[in-house]
Amino acid sequence: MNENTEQPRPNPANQQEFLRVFLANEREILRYVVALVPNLADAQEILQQTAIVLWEKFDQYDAGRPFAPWACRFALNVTRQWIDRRQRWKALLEGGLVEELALRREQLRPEFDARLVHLDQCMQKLPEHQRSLVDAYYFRQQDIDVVAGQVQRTVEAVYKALQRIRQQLRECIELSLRKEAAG
Amino acid sequence: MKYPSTEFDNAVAAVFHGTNTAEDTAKLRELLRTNQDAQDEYLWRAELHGRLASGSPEFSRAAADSMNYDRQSVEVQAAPLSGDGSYARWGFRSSSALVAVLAVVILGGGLWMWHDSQTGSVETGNPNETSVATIADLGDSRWMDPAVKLSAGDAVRVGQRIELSSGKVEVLFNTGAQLSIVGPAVVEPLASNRVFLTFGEVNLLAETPESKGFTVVTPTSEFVDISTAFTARVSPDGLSRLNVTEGEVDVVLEGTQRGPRLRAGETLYVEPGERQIMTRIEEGDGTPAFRFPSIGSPSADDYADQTRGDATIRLAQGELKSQAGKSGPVTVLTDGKGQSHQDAPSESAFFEDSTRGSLLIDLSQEVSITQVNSYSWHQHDTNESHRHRARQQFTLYGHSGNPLPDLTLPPSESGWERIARVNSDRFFEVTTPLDRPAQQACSITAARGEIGRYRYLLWEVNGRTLFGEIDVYGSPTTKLQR
Repeated sequence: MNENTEQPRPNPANQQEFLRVFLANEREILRYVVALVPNLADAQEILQQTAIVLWEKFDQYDAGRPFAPWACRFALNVTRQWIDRRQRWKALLEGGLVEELALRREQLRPEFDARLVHLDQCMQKLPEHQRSLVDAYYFRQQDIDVVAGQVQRTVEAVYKALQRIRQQLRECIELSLRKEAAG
Repeated sequence: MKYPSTEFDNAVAAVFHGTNTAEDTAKLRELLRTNQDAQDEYLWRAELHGRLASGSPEFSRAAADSMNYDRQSVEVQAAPLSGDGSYARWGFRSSSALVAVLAVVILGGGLWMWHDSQTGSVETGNPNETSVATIADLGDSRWMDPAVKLSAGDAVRVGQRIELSSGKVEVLFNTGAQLSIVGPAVVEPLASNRVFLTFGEVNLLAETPESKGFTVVTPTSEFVDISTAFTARVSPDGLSRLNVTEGEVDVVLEGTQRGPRLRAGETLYVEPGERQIMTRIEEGDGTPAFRFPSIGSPSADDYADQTRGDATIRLAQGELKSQAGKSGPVTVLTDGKGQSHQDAPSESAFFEDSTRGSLLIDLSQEVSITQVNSYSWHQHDTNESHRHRARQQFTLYGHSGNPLPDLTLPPSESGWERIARVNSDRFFEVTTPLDRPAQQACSITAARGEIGRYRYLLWEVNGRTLFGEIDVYGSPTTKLQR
């Protein structure tokens, strides 16, 4: 192949439309991936690879239909390939379990969405040091070693703290649901 | 494993954090397959985990309502994180996936053209946040959002995202640090001495005591100024580049307390991804000794050297030049030495003119690879500017074992894992032939020590570079505790 061969230039309007719908749905696709591969670094990598596949397939997307379900089909394929290449995930999810989880999540989504309505207020109730941990680990996506260094605790202690925070949030959400049900 | 139980709680958390043992994994798998309640609870926990990682629902709605399209870096809450003036936020920064998307746009040939037609908004920051800098000079800059009206002297706040379409903006921080942003670029101050560079280029000059430690955070790395000046660049596909022009800079990589310290004149690339692959390219002394500032000389002590008998090298795709001034065999690349002089085709391996091809090294078993070096040398005996065959432009892939992927398919579609991309012309910012060093070395390493575990390595080479040696360092995984 000639070194100077140029690839065809994509349609800018198509690029813009893709960026618009992808960015509008990126969170939802990420959450779908996290449900299957809940390690955040791995999920981000899968999301990246999915973004590339989606762009390649974007001319097949029917704009009259919702983007996220269409995109999640490709995300599932990328996730399968990811799992196949990594022993840790293969040991947990091979043999159809990943597809089973994907299907079950769809069934449970209305219930999950109803619970997650209470997440914001439960976040507000966390003590400041716990919110800082959530910020560093989830939003800033800082490496756990860095987070541990900042709070002057061991990595294990930070993981344990995150586990406790999630438990507190779940308990708070359950309590809110019960209050809501009681009127 | 039972459900509910502390063992279940801990196993699920370990999966989330990537610390699960094989035993826990097997037990959890069995439980998830056989107990519907446990599976539902696992999914609920994963849903919450994913929701935290992607921002709150309230945040999502607010963001969607307030923007032309769903921009992703809005702050919804501020709480002190540390004593350095930075703030904790609960939101979602879509940098990694976004840059991947932009990468495919660009790989398709539309270099930055989407910016010209962008209508995205610019974050103006929280007015309650402290001003950390002022706009010193705007030059002929253009913003991604034409509605943006910034003038010299305007304050810049923490969280105020600066989205530059073209031109250059000079920002003077209160600490005295001078940051020059070269468009197209997206930059966001995180604190008084800290910015996030989503993509684009910034040049930092930090000469005051207060500006020491100024940090440029990129999607892969943190570049911490020790003294005095550096350039950081993030490609749309997440590849970070650091070039130190004066003094020293520490590179902090995810998963490490501190990475390498670079000195004036040194440059480092950091690939996006979990392995934190780093690439250094250096100019040699132009002698058969192949001496480089920090990269070792061609060696017979590496794992792939032919004297060890462990590895074989062969042409995977393409043809070596076979006419006048023809290439040597590919085995010259594993003979432990570079070329003996500057124009030695028979001691080099290179492809036919105007072609590309690939080279395959079979290490005969899975090897934990820690370093891959490649060396090139070419300059015409009489024409000093004729040295274009010294350029190294290749993509390195790895594959862990059998079967060997179909070599007739593109590596990206046949199971190869991309390790690193190298373009030494871009690295040396070659604009005239004499900018290009005639003798070059490229060294690929990983922040965490191991590049990966592979049996096969594939170099997809673009052009007719006169490679003289390839060295692969590592140990068989059978000798390592897995």
